[in-house]
Amino acid sequence: MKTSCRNLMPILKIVLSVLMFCIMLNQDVFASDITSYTYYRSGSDKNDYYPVPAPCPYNYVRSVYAKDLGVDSLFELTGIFVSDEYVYISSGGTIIITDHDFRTKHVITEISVNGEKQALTKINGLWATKEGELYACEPGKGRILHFNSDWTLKRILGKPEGILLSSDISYEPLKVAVDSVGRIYAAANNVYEGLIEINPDGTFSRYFGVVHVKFTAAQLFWRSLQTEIQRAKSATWLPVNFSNLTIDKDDFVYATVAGSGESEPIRKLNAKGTNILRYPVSTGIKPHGDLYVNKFGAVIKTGESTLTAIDVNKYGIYVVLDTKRNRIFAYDDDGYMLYAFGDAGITEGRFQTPVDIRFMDDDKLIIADRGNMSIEVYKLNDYGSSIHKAVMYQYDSDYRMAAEEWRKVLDYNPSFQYAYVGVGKALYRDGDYKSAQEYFKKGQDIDYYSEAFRKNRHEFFRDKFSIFFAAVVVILLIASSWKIYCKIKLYRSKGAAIK
Amino acid sequence: MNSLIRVIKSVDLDLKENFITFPFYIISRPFKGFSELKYENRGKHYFAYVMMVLMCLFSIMNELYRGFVLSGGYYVENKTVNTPYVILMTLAPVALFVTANWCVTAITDGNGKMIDIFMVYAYAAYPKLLLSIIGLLVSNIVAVDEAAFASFFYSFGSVAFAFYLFIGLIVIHEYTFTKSIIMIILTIAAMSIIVFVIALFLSLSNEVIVFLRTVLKEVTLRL
Repeated sequence: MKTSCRNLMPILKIVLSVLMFCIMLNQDVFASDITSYTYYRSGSDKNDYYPVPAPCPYNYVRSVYAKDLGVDSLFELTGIFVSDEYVYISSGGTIIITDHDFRTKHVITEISVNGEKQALTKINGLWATKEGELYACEPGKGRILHFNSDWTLKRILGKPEGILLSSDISYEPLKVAVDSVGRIYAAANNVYEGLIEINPDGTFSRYFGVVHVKFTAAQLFWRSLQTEIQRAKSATWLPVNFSNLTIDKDDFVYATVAGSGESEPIRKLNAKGTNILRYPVSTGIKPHGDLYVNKFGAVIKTGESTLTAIDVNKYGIYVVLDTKRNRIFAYDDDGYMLYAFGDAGITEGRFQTPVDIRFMDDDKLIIADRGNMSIEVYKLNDYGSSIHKAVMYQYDSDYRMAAEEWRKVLDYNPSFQYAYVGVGKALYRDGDYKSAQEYFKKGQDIDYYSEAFRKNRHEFFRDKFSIFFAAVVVILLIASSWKIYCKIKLYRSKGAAIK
Repeated sequence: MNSLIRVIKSVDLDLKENFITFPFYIISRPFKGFSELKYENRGKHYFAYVMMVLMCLFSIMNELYRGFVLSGGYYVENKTVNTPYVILMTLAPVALFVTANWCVTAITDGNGKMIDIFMVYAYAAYPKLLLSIIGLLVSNIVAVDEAAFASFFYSFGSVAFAFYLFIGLIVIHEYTFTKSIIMIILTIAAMSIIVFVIALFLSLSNEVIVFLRTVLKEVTLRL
């Protein structure tokens, strides 16, 4: 008996090790060990949101360095843009054009103006239109360059007539975006009136999406006490500049405002220039990066997130980049936070000085990291792609398919509250109001909860109406008969007294 | 034994009179009701103590069973309530108010004794308790756009409480209207001072304790 056991031991060991290996393989497939979190509401107060760990929606794929692109260096990396075909990278005085696998197709380092060659100075924001025409900002020379689809210079858009700047302040366009009919939107340094909208022919159209100056009553009070000289010496209140912008497929401009503590740092601007970004009304929390931040501290980062880059995909998911804490936040079309990841550091999933962020293909996210002099490529894993698919189905109003994806998301991350709401919506559509109510409750969404609750209440009263009615009748009967009994008793005793 | 029986017998256990008729009499005729409370001994001390217990119970119930909609959309499975904390937060304001009001009125010719102030507080809290119970029940059957119905009961209860407390204090201290208002302001000031002194005491005693502990540690290390 003993010997047979001993003979079995090596086989057992092999089986066990194979099993272990399988488990390890499995883990590798669905989740990465990058730290990520979502916010979880745990308190009746409106601001009781705390980060809870979540699986990271992205797996690290690769870092693309200068040598992979065949250029000298990427230490002046400023912006990236992804079109259907190419990836455009601006670094110092070069624009690198590669395909989606980062094989370099073309490098622009100089332009020819009136027959004479000019080396490019620091290029910042990039934008390529559907036709493949490239726009690039050259803030040092105060102009936006417009290239043909074969990357030869088409025209130069200098400072538009109509922008009033004093002579000692230069016009520096930093970021550019072009909509489907060719209107150019630019965010520029020293222009405080908002984004600059330029007509397709290059003339100035208007300022777009003005950021208003915010001040508190206390500030106003102290300012009223100051003398004229003091006022002249104290810092002027200027509205915060737009830090970055992008345009979605419906020509809405998404822009970020970098001012820390801004109440609406992410804006979706309609044609009129007003902010129409949706946010969950039941909680009233506008998308603004981290909800729970350190307010005081000497060596740690304090205050609200500073958002400096934004990109939106075709079903309304937008990602923003927080350069204060090197984090990336994603929101869906309704303004619910989907995930957050990233931190300062040099390991995978961490960034040193991220400057720009773009979606690539359907499942990739690329981040330009100037500190690391690389372009970091991340790919959605099972968890992340479930979130994205769920949002996509929701965007197309296919709630049943979305619920299936949300259930998968919940398997990975049971503390993802928005997923419960997603499942609840499908249950509500299918008429299962009881379960829907439970799911909405778990998702802590009052509005949807109320809808389901109303249906349940209605059903309850309709079913139990006969019982209520019978109870009321019985109570009335008992009460009236008791009164009659009392009266008879009184009458009898009176009669007895008379006798 | 005999004395105990006498005490028990002396307690007027007419529950209908003490817990329904008289409180409602105060609600309908506050001036008359509160003067009968003081001069004709119609109010009972044990009513006030029972009210305190009921208030504590209600606070706990409120924490536990308030509807999802009214608790600001916060839901958690296996909800836990810190009962001692809730009880403290119910009773501490009573103690604070009664002490502060007594401190103020004792030096401004108020005629109410401390027990009178306490009784007035309890009787004034009665309508608030009833309305809050209704609010608690209603909060479980409303949707979000009807939430105002439930919160109405809560806030109306608070307003009623302030109203009856004010009238009760006027009656038992025999003040004029303006003097009562000054008395209320002074009471609030006194309450803040008491809270401040308590906070100061706590933080200072904490320092002392830390100091003593450090000394003790030093001594034990040197030994």
